[in-house]
Amino acid sequence: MSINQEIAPLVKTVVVPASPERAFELFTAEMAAWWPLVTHSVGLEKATDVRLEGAVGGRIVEYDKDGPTCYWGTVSDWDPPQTVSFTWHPGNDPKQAGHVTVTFRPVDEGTEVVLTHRGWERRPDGVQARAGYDSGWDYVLDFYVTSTG
Amino acid sequence: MLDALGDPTRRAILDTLRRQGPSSVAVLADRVPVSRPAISQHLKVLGLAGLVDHEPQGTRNIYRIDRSGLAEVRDWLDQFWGDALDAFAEHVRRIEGTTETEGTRSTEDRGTRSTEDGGTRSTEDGGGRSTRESEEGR
Repeated sequence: MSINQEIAPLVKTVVVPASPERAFELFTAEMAAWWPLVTHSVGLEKATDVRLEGAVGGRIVEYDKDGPTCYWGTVSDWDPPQTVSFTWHPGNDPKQAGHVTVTFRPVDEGTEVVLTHRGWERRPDGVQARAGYDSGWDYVLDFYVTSTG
Repeated sequence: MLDALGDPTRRAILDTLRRQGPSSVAVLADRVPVSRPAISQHLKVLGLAGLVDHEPQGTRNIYRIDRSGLAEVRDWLDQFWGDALDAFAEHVRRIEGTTETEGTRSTEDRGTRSTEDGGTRSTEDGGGRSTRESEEGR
């Protein structure tokens, strides 16, 4: 309840030397080629692949050697080469997802990629959340809410 | 911090402490499938990272989540996306590095869309969403 919509979104920006079309493609279709799975996944060193299904309703799926292991989120906005948005709940209840929007904008040096992570406030139980969380991310994200709320 | 949270056992310990509340090593060893000495060792790492605190109760220590580690956790989250985007940028540079002059605007015929986008997106997101979500929250 004390967690409200005032919580500041996390915004990160990077400029890459490619056209928006190419940057968008690399970010989405070729996610596994660059995503640091070993440190940024639910399975960590067991994770072998991540795929973002490029369409509204598509999922972001983490794999290990035996197949899909978990969903990180669902694509909610698919507008290549400008915007992709997805819910974000690695290992967590989709109802308590955060929301990530990535925009691609042409600049002189190539493409400016802006990632905005918001929607912490969507968690209905906020700080008091006690349901079954299994990944360190949930722990971290939950505490992010606590610390900014 | 990354190191402290990067280990599955340590995350399991943290999750257990979150769910169970303050716990002894014995209780943690029941829930997390590693030995007591291993639990103690992980608790030490978590303690050094400012994520877990403890106080003696009788002959044993009771461990609990230490919320003073929050600032670091927030930094960690910030770093999480920072690292991911850096990895992305590095990959693009590697792949596209030799052809970076090509394509920036060649295939983008609909030049007006990007301007339009840039102008409206921030207000849309800032105003519309928060209203909607505060209603959802009831």
